[in-house]
Amino acid sequence: MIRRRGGTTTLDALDEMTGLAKADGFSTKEFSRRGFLTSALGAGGALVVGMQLAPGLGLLERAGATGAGGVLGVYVTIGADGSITLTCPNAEMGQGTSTALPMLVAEELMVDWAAVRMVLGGYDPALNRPANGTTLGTSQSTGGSTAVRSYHDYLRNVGATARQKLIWAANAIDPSIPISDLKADNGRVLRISTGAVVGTYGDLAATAVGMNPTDVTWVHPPYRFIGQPMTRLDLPAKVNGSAGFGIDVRVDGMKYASVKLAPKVGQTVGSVGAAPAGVQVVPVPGGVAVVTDGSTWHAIQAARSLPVTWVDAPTTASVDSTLMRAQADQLLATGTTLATTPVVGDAPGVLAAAPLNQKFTGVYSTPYLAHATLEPMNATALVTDSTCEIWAPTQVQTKCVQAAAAITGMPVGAITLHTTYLGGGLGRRLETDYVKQAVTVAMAVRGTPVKLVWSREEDFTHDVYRPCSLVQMDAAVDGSGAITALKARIVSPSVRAYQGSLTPGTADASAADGMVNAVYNVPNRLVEWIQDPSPVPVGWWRSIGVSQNCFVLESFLDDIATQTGQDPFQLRKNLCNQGTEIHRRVGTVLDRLRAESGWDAAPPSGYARGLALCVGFGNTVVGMVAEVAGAFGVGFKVGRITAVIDPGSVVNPDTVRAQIEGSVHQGLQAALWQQMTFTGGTPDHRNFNTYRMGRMRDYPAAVDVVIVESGAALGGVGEPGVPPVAPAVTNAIAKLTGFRLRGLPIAAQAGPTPPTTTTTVAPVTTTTTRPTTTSTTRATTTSTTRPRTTSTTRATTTSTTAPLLGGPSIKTFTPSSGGVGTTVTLTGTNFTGATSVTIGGVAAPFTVSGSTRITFRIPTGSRTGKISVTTPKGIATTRDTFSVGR
Amino acid sequence: MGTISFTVNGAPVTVDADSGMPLLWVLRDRCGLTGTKYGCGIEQCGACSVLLDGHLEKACDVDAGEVQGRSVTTVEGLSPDLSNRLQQAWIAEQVPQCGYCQSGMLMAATALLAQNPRPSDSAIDGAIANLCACGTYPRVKRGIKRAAGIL
Repeated sequence: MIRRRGGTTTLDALDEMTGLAKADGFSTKEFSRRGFLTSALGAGGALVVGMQLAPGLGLLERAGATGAGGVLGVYVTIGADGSITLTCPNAEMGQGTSTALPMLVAEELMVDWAAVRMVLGGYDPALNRPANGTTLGTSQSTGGSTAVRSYHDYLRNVGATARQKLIWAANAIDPSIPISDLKADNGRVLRISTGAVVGTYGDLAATAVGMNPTDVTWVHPPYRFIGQPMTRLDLPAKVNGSAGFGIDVRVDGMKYASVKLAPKVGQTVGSVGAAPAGVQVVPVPGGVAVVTDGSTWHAIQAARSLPVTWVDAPTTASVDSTLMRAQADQLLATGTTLATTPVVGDAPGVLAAAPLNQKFTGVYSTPYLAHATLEPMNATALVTDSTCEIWAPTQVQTKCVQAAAAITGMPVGAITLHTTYLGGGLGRRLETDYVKQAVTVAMAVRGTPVKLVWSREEDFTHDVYRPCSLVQMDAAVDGSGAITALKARIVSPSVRAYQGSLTPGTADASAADGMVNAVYNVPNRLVEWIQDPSPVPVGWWRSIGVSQNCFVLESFLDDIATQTGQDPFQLRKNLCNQGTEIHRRVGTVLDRLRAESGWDAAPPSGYARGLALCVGFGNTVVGMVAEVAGAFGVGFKVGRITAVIDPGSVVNPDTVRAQIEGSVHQGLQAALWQQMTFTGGTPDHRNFNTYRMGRMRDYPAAVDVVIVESGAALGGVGEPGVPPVAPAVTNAIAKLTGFRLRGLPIAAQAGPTPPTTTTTVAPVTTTTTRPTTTSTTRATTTSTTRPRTTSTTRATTTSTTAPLLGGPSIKTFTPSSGGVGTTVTLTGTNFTGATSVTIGGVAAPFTVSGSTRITFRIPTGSRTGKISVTTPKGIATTRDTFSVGR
Repeated sequence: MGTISFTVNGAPVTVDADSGMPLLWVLRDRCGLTGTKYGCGIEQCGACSVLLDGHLEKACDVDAGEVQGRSVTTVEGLSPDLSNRLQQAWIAEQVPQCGYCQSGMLMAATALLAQNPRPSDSAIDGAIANLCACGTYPRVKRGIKRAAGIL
């Protein structure tokens, strides 16, 4: 389980997320091999006193740079020419840590940024994600938006130690100069008293290797690099074609492989037909691989044409989106519930005791999603009798090496893994399936390197999809509108169960991530989880469970705000009123967002605004406001997004900006269009022609990113910008159309049911008959802090019954459709003293708020029909019908 | 298997290739020019965009046989030393994230600027249909305008 402490993912959570045991998984043989390499290269010695650093396999890749310079541990290599080569221990998948992490070392090392080169570290336990500033953890992996925050202290120590080693080297070379008279400056060591250059780093590096400084301290602000928008170290190679992605690996004499995997979920190979001459077939997990000479194209062609019969699993036919949704509905109603922790107060009790007109409910759904990294899955491997060498775009070096050891039967120390650039990770490359396949094939062609590349079609249809979810939300408010109880009932497949790491009878906390640990202080909270046993492969998708639960929670809060006439900013601030650091930070972000988004000014004509908030990934706070135009049946367009992010502290602000820009894209395409569906066991999307990705023209015309640096501890940046996009958009749509979307993707939702009457709508300025293209030009004159005034402008009706003098009249009802339990708001006049409200002739419990507003709940047994309000002075009936749906 | 002779980035090459082998794979697995990327194989993503006799093409849909005697420009042909104005603009705007789509983006941008030296935002929207999974679109747009001198 992902454990949270005060909303912060503990740094060991990723180890668990990536399936790594907490126990030290490394054999003594592996360490002894490392020792051998160290002595063989003659550049040994632990880098830092008290740190578990030791030169590792990465030395091999940098041996040429040592020369007369020096290797100051696994992270820092200084050439005789003064070149500075810093190792990135993480996967670089676009998130910029191959710049941010070297920045931390370079800041302390006091070097010229232009002199810095970066190399991607291969598998090396010395590059493991640190447990703290001086101790290494147990895995080398990239995920959970942990890179900068988990490596920060350790890499500052690395850089500071290397700097002091150089200073001590100057003293060792000329003992007449006391250490107290030496300082580092831009790649040189100077004498403080005279300013004279004692030596360049290149001069001093070889001597520095043997130094053991005891005066290691961090430099003080103002920083030269930290907090500055440093140019990324990986970009030059990414604009001239030279960046080496996994798919670009070429090894002398290599063969080409591709895969043919089960076309339906759960199927296994029945029989394999004859392969053409020169094509070798190798069974691999999930299907078969083919090995060819020639090219990756030849391998993909051979895989496609290979005749294979498949055997269904008992569950294969059940993998059908219609059947699975029906099952989820059933589970939501009757499934076995597991409570997640913490349980706060007594939400069920408060909900049961609350009057009907102070309760809110809604059922939300999110779909399976593909990762769709642009670089298809691939890996290259060479297995000999005693070694295994792997080149892989992976987020999990340690896990890959452990898997390769298991497959080959070799000790971990016999495995070498080179990390390539990743053509996107997004969580897909936390899996090792494709690496296992490459190693399996390399075993079969022992002595020959082989590059295994999936076709795009195999990539789409053999993903580990972001789970779907079906969530019922219930809340109670007090007389002031304050939320007193919140209950979530989540039905979803479990990633941990799929990975085999869920303890039976316990809840998968990752499925409740963003819900159970939401920042909001509601006195009674309960999150229930019901496992959906769907056999669809599921995995971690950028921002994991938060990507779903943020949509649900932020939509529900917005719904409550609208129905109770509360300002959505203030409603959230009211829930963050504990005076804690994180609540203060949320307040600051919301205030800034309100100002930056122009929330209190009218939006552009045809647009409405929606707000959403996400707090997580190390207490990073992201608030977003989306401006949306459009209509159901036509489509929606996001014109502008304002994002305010407080990641605590910032290392590279331009990267933070880029990650939010990218998060908007990731979140928006998922919100608008994306879902993986299944028919009869087969994934319905196989390529980008039907699985819609956002393109240039789809990207909002303006995405304004505001960074608030509160100075709190470093939080994650890669993921927290994704979850708020969808609810910001659907909250805007609710305001724009009066119809609340409770399902994603937006394009797959039916939207409001059109009115069944054909009456021409009176030319009331705020009225449209239904959302059509005209709604894009409809004046949204109110961008006030009272969102209900705009949200009620759709589905407006006029009374069909001429009101008696002083009798009631209904002007609007919102929403225009919904299921049993939906709260409907009527606006009109003369509601005081109402005696009944009916929908389709069925009486509904209701609440009158003054003379102009009534809220009521769609009662059980309701049918689609007109709404009537009866007062002692008359009856008003809507012209349009309210559609009672599922 | 026959041989195909053509010019790539100004240099004549002759490679062994079936006439039906897509140019994408000829470039990657015959010429060793791996800057041109495989993303979809069905002309959807644009990661394999190259110039064929100066015209933008998706190399996954160009057969080797069609390339005989013609001239191909790939991302490696923009410049090895980052002196091309688009490469410089890409660095100045810090455009790439994962970078996988950027070869194709740069080629599409090259073709756009050759046709329209000062493209409007909507012209860029219309011309650049390449997929970027990271969402670098706003920076690609700025990069193009910077290279065009209209930022």
